[in-house]
Amino acid sequence: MAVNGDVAALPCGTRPQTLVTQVFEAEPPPAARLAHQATCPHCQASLASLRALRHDAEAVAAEPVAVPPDFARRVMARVRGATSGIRVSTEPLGSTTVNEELVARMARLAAMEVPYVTFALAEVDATQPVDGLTFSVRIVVAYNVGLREVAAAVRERVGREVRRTAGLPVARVDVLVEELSG
Amino acid sequence: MVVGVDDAYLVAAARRGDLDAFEVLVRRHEASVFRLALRMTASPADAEEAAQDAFVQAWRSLHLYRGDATFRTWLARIVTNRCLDLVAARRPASELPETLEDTRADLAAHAEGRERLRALTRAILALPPDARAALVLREFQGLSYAEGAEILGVSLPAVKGRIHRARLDLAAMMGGWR
Repeated sequence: MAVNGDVAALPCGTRPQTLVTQVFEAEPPPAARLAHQATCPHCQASLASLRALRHDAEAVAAEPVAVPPDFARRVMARVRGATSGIRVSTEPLGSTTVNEELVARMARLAAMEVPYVTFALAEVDATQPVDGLTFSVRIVVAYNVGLREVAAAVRERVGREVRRTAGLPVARVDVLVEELSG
Repeated sequence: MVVGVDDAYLVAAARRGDLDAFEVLVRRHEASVFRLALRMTASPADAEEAAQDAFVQAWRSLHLYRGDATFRTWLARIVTNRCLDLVAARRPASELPETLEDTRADLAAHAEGRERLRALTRAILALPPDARAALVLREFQGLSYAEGAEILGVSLPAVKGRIHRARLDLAAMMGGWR
């Protein structure tokens, strides 16, 4: 057993390092070594166990690894921890505040439902919530469709969905067409 | 629906503070990050902790990501370092739960199938952490030697040496030399 030390040569004088390289790096051995290995029981046994190890390592590498359920949700909850909220209503019995990122997400999901929008990202500016929120929506649009019509549909849909779900007024929805997708 | 949007686009958006863009990146890379953490720690609980920490740290240090490495490589570096910290904190080398001799005896007892693979997983865990990291990146994440060197912050010969060393040690643990 040699961890962190030199590995002793095999009884036939072959260095194990040579065999490891031969098996794992798939280096064809020179003719003289090949001839030696053809008759040497030490080399043959070591090569067989190295090939078995390589085979097992490939099997471990190929084993499926399941990501724990809701992993991304837990990550995002930690990432989101410090972001600010938007006051949706103040009632006698308490207020309701929605995480700013969730409001931005509503806008994003609404934009993604518009035909020909293949991807969307949204940011919300909540500095003047009384007048209404200002959204900035970046979209990727399918090639060869009218961009103004798509942008107008995004503006309409984002405004409607944010008003409907969060009950918040929407002042502006600025749409930036950022990419065309095939 | 996310087809056609590459990592660079999402990273740029995430850097502006867009959490949805970052979430797409998390979902895209969680399998590879979790897998790397699991091979490094051999414990699902530790792997989850290391993988979560890595993504949170990635979010906080996105402004430091310059785009000279791929996002995947950059993430791999963060999670590898996190795992090395975790492993160092959890298992001082002197307190490894089983000796290498036990691993070998174990293997003799269960020579076949899944038990063999389990024994190999344990043998990998018994490797010195930096050798294990080099081996895992190459054999289990399928990264090149150059990527491994970049992730570990060492030279190409150093990373090759570590992997070679790790293979020798594994071979000794799993079968021995005859």
